[in-house]
Amino acid sequence: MSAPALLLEVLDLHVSVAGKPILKGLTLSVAVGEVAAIMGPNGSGKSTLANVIAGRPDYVVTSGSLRYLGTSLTELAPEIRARLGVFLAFQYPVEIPGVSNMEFLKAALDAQRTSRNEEPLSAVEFMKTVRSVAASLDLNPEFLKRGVNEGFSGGEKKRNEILQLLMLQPKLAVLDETDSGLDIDALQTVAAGVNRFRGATNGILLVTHYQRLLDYIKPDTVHVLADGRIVKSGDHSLALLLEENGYGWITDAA
Amino acid sequence: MSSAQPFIDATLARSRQLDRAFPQIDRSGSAAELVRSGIPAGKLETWKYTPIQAFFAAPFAEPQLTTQPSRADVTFLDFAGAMRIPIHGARSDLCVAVAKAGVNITTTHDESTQRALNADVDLERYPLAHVNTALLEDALVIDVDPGIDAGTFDLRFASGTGAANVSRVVIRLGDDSTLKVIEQRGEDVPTNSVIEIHVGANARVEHTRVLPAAVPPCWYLVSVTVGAAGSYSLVGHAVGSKTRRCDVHVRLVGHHATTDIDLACATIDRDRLDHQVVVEHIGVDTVSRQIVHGIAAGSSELTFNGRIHIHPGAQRSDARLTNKNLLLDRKARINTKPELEIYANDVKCSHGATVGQLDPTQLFYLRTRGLDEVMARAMLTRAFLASRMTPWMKDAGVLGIYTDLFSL
Repeated sequence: MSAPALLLEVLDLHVSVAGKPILKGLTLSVAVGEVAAIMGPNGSGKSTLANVIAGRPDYVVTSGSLRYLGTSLTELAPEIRARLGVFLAFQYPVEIPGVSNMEFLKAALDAQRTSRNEEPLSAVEFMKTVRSVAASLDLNPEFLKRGVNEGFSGGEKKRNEILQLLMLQPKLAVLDETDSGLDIDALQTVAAGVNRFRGATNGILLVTHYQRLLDYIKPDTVHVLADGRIVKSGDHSLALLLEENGYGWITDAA
Repeated sequence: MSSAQPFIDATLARSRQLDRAFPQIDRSGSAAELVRSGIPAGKLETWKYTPIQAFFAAPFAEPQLTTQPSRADVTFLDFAGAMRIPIHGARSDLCVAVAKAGVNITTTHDESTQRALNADVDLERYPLAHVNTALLEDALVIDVDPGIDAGTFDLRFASGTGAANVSRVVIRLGDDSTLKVIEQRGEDVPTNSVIEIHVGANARVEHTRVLPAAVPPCWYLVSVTVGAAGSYSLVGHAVGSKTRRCDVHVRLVGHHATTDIDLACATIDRDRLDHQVVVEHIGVDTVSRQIVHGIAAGSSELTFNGRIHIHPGAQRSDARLTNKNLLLDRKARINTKPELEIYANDVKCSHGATVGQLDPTQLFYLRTRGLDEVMARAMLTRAFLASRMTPWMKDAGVLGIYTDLFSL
């Protein structure tokens, strides 16, 4: 039996931000249908990895490779990556007063569909879909009229990221600390949304500091990131071990 | 004889001509003042970025050229629920009584309102108001009786029969009354226009202003006095023209009077737009808020001067001013100058101005959702302006005035 196709393949990746090396030879892969969790202490490079996959300007790949479905991402603009099916749920979703959530979502969806030579959704179809997704995330339909993330609570912002995930249906979802700042109810709602997205044709890279999220979104693999490198990989039991013993025993050994 | 003399002579001649045709307006004081003070020579500090001399020049004093309005096809926006009042030059087609008890719309041809002009206009600060008065053919006067909700009036300013427009609207609200007023500008000849607003005690005026692209030099003054516990709010959107100057003067006279001034302005190409806002806190416990967003692109020049003046005795005044600007091109220029002048010792005041580019994090966020850079920039530029807009204005299509900016 052949190995499952690789959605994301990162080889010996070195990344600098403002001239400072953050990722120092990171190697990692995510297969189609896989949920991989990246855990690690603060400052280990988790968010840098998430952002560099999405193509954040100023995050400079100095060596190594970053491939998505066999294509190198490093030279592609963020919007091209998005249209190919890469999605980043932000740790700190950005507020954009003056653009309504609805307008933003419709523009994003239209841009992605157009790039795939698909017809944009009709306004009616779009509204129907977005309302039902919003309801599944306990988001009041009124919030669709508000400015993007404007004045949203921390929980609302994170749910809004998941709403976008469910609307845009990417192939690779990178979730950057989507659990941070959530109470237990919101965490369960968000996790249910992610589980709804999860499927045999897509993959998820779940960046998190705490094991807690993994109680609700069971990962296939767990990788520990320390000082810009993966220092240990395993299954869900590794996350439980980390919860019990902290990061010290791994990062010290590395 | 100075080079200004021909304009003064022409103004006096035109003023005398108007006195004979429309004797209800007293132009003599302003005409005499023009002769006495002459035309400002050189640069005035408050007119540093806009040449005031453009408004002391032909064709303002020229007689009427035609008998037909020069442009009847101006497109105005439709605001839901508003009563339209077209104004061509100084003349309004609608001088009839409104079908609403307690609201009177008249012109100065009506004896009872002929003395309404310049009651509170600071003529020393605004010498162009003298030119306006001296050359005024007529004025529209809206009176709202105490306790009346007058609804919404949509003032649609278009060119009249002259080579220039000189117009005046006076709005007077009795105590406890309310009025929404929309000001839409569609003049295509040089313009000198004054709106006077008197807000009675506990009365409320909501002023919505739309200044789409225009070619000729325009000067507009909004002069407002607010009585005790009254409020005046202005939400204005404007794009530049060859020379466009907007003066706003709000005097919070009564105690607990408030004003909210929310402006967005944008310039492209080689256009200019100059907003000068003066808010005077005169009564105790008065509150003012100013939020001004500006965008300059191309080789344009955008100017904002916001002055807060707290008079002696205006204790517990609370004044805030925020001015945010986006500079989209290297050759564009933004002049911003928030000013505070405080003569009372128990006040809260803050002011700040920033000039920057589009936020790179916002741009990245939009691009990670599939919008290309051009689309993302257009969306953020629009958002910067739309954030200063009421839903009512969005529904009326006010964003349309910025179309040329978004297609850059």
